[in-house]
Amino acid sequence: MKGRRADKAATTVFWALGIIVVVILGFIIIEIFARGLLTALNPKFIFGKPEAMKPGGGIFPMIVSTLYLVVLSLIISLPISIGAAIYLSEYAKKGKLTSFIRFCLDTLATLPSIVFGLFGLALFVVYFQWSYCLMAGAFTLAILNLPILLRGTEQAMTLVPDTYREASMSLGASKWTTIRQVVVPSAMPGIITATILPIGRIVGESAAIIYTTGLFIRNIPVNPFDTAAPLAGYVWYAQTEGQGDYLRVVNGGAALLLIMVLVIYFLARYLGRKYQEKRLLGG
Amino acid sequence: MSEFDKKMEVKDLSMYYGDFKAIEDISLDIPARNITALIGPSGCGKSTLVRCLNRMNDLINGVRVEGEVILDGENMYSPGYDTIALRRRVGMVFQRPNPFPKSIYENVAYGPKLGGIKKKDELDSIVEDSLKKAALWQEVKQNLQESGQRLSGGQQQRLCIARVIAVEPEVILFDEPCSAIDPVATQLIEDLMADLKENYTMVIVTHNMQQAARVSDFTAFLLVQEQGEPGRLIEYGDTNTIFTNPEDERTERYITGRFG
Amino acid sequence: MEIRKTFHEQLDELYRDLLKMANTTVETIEQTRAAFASLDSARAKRVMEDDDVLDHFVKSIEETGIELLARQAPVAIDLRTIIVIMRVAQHLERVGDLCVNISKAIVNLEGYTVSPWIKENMDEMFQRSIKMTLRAMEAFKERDLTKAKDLSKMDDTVDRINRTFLTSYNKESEEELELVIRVVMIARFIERIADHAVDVGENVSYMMTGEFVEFG
Repeated sequence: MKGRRADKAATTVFWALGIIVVVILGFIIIEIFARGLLTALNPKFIFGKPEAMKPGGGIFPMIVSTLYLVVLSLIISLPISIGAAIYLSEYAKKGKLTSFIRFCLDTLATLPSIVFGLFGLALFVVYFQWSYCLMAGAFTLAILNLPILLRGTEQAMTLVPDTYREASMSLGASKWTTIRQVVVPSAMPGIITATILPIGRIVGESAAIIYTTGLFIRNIPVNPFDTAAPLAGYVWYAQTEGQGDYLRVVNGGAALLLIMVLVIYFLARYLGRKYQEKRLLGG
Repeated sequence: MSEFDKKMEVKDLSMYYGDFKAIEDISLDIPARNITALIGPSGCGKSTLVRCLNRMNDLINGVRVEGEVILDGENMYSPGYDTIALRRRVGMVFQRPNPFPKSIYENVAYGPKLGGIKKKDELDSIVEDSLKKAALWQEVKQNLQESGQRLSGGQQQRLCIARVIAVEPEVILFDEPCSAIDPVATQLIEDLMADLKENYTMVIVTHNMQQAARVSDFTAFLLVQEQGEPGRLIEYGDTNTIFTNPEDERTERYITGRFG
Repeated sequence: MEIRKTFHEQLDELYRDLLKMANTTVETIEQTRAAFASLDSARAKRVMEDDDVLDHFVKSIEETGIELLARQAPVAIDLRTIIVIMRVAQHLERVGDLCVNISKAIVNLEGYTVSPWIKENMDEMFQRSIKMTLRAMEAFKERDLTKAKDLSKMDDTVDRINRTFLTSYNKESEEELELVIRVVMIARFIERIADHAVDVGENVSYMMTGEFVEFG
């Protein structure tokens, strides 16, 4: 009897916790959409130019900045992560060095993003004299995302069964060829999944880009060394400045951010599944 | 045995994992175009021994080898020996079928592509030829683009055999190839091995004595005498003699099921 | 789809070897019959020399049979077939030895005159024993239980003729004693050839039913 009651109690508790999480998430989404969805979906808003003092501005350059930032940052951090993951999972001998590297990475992961922002400011904006620009932001975010991305890609590679490596080597492939032709392709779905969280972070990151990228621009950034204004930072800026119809901008911007994150998330999962299917069916 | 050429010779081979000696002073011949079986109870070192024959044990950290393994007159453990070329000549089929998560075609084409073959017609013909030799062509010729991992266990193992054949090895090593496969599929693979004898030298590790009796021409019996000791070669001879009238009492006790 | 084709191919070969041995055995009995019919010592000596062939046959069949048993672990019909092939080979080899014994007696009969009555009856015994051997091998090839059982009746006839040799000779004079002894021996040998044929039939029955039954 005791067993069954305890079991029922536990099940109820877990259900309750699950429901609480869903409710909280739902609440956030509903609140944000309630305030800003209409604005966010308004084409004038999406494609319009921003106004600093006057009401009625749009946020197109901000959207472009954000997307540009995602692409740039991934271009920088993906190769480094995959490379480092390959080193850690395939080449490094388990020992003090790898433990130390992991320790450093774990520590990096816990730092608040503003620390990265200030670091980026000091190094890229000031010391390299790049001034506020996309590149500074991209590099900063790359460093910020490094621990998570590295962890994820490394895990994806460790999950590739050793038997594939054995089979490849027994056919006369070198270690490097095995990694290139068998391990990395097999780990691809996992790597793609591991990229989702960093992308979300880039889209939503404010503290790190405030000090490195810029806050307000009128025109679409073209050159990576142009100043830019990613959406998350702009929302903060608009709120702080409190000028014009900032509330509309803030709510609309927040809603749009949420939409972007959701779209990216589902897109990544869709792509991941497609890649998986393609691999299972051939090629 | 004397009427066959020696494809490989193992001379006083010992192998260590770190400080632990796994096998000691093993010497035997692998006659060309015959099947040599390695039998013995679990842990006797037969898998260790067979993995020394294509230097797959090198991939494990802390492994040390003493003695020689001679392939066509050259010691493969001499310094500077090209292990990549070695594994082209001495292929391996593993205990659990391990096709790559790629299509059937790509699995078989993997080896030849490593060797630099790029033209599609050449690859097509190699893939077809290898699958035919592995007795798998009829079953998969319509579905070469499907994933190799969708095949049944027995088919996957034959795919792995085709993959090895595609590299045109001289020797094929089988490390308990049928332990993860059902009996009918096992028999198919045994029949396949009998056909392959025409062109390839084979070594099979098996814990199934009846399989060794059915399939092999020569048999080697390995044993760890007491716990902690390395595996040693107890007896080696033609299969018929080993299974009708072995010389060593320990061999007889093992094959009659009185221990191990 | 047949699997274990190597084993079944080997089994087929063993089977064919037995049939070859049987042909050679029948040929041997025939040669012995012809040697007696004309009291041809030269022919009889050839029979004795050629016995090697049957010895080689039985040895090879035995070795192959044992190898198949040891290595292939056959069961059911395969197991019984191999056992029967090995036993039949032994019977055939014994028949060969009996022909050698008959041939020795024929050589020792050189110079004697054998009556037509003896020649006729002996020839009949020879012919019947050849027929029985052939019938036994037919039963084996065709898996025919009826033919196997026929052998029992055929053997009765051979036994009967054998007995007449004994009963018809008590009153002859002494100088023919050696002749009588040799003739009776030869008849006895042929009677045993017939017995071996019956044994082969019993083995065929075992191969088919798995039960061992003695005929007649």
